[in-house]
Amino acid sequence: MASVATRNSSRSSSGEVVVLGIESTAHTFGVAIVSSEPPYVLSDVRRRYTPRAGGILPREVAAFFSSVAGEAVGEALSAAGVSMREVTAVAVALGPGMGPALRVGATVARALAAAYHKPLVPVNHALAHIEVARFDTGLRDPLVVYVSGGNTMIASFLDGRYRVFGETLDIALGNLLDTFAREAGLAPPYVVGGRHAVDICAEGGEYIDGLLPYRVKGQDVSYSGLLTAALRALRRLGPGALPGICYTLREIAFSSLVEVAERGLAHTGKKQLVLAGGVGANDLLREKLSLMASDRGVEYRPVSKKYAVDNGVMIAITGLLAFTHGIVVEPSRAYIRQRWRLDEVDVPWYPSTLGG
Amino acid sequence: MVPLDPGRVRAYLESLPLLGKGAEAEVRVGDYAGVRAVFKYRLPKRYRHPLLDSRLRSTRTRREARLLDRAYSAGVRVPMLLAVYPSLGLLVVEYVEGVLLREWLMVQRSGWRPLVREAGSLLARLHRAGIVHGDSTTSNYIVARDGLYLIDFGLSEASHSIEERAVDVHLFRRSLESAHASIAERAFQEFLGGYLSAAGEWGERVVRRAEEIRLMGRYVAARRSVWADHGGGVDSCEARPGHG
Repeated sequence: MASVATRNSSRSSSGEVVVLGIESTAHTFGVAIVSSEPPYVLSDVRRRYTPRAGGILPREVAAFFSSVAGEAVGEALSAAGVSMREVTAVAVALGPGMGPALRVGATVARALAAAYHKPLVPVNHALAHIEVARFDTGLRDPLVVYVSGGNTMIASFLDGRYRVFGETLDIALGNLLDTFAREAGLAPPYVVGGRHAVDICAEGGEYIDGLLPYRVKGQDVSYSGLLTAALRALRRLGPGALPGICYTLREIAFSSLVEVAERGLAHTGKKQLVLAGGVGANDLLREKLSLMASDRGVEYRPVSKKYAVDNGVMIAITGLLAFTHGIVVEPSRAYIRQRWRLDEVDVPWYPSTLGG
Repeated sequence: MVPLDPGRVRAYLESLPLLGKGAEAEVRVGDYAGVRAVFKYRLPKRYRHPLLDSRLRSTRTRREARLLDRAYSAGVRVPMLLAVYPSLGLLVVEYVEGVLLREWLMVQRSGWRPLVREAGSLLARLHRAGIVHGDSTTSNYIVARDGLYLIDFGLSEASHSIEERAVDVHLFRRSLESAHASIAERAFQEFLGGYLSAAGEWGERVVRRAEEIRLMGRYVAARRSVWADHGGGVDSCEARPGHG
């Protein structure tokens, strides 16, 4: 996927900052060019790895990334009409994510930075999901619900950083849906026409009360017991019950997430709510959060679907904001961090974003 | 008496003055059978399936009532349970006249030592009764004429776990550090003195574990009080009776 932005202004105009961002933490190798001046996003190239069967194997992803990295960088530059000479800095997601996949992005970014004498900007992938959501929705000071294949958290800015208010105690929401779909024989492919296999299966199903456990502990959710119980119910009731199980699984998983999000709003006093991350493209989850937000009188916007999933734009945007606040790293010290936590990262530009 | 017609209970509750509203419940004050009472009403949520919603509200209300009653019977100073209507999501407890410990500590310059010590022994007695509080901050103690009361059992569980007891101790410490920094360390030592005096032989283990939790830096439960510091609104589960 590539998009081209046409611009008339001369790039040599003073003060413009142009950042090339690279995302490679999971299944998508993304490269994007972002500018500090409108229209901000100059290009957005993505190469997504889709396993033929089973789940994602890190080494296979890495091999795929290596094979597409060169052309993705070239395509991002040409789509933006920018040469490497005109790029101000290179940003890369150094974590959290899968080691072999992260290494490809880091290697490409280090090489570009060294070869063209550009500053290298380290970007936290979770932070980038939040920052692209703030940029995209226009909500500047929200409570953030960030859900993806590997992450499930409720976060909010306080005293210089995003703090994790609540999270999953075990597996991520995306992981729950993917694993159930795979074990039940519904996937891969996990997503068809923008809809998850569990959503498609739930059509024609009904909620079965008491079938599956609802687990909220304080401000956290827990999904592993739900997964186990859903698989056990499937074995007991047979494939005919699959639509009902899918419906119930979804209802309980999303409702418990919305509940901890509401606790987060009550605790932090935030008046805005943003949904970010790959599972944020889910229509039912969007609707449930919208109901909760309107009952609480909170302004709510989900990130647009194209920026919900992993992409290079979010890395470039966050990299640009970080770079203009002096955050750079020596290429020789740009280590990947598979478990880099969101609340370890300073965010000196908050609450402003690209364009103010 | 509370009119028990579910269609009218909401209207009746709304006629009562609101003490506070959290994520889960509204807390109001009114009369119950001639006694001044706190009404905690778990609100229906439109985002949940109606069957799931009514089951969660009733099981949680029933659980909270059971734990409150168990604590009271064990001699822990908590508000007396007056009535529970699980199917309505309504809990009615005795109104405790007083000020929140959090507010008391902010205003008073002396005399805090015996109070904080009593908070420690109160928590230890709750633990001895097989209950962990789950939200044991200075905002959940009321300083009343006849001593200290523990309130809000919305996040409580029946548990003898050293880990969960330690989380309670840790949460209290965090709330001291965030809202009462100048006396935090001395107050916490006083609190521990009270806790250990009322705890069993397991007390030392709880205190050690609480220290480890603190050293881990970032712990699930520690996040709660990050926002409590900033006075970020009403607690998630229940507002505070006792502003009277």
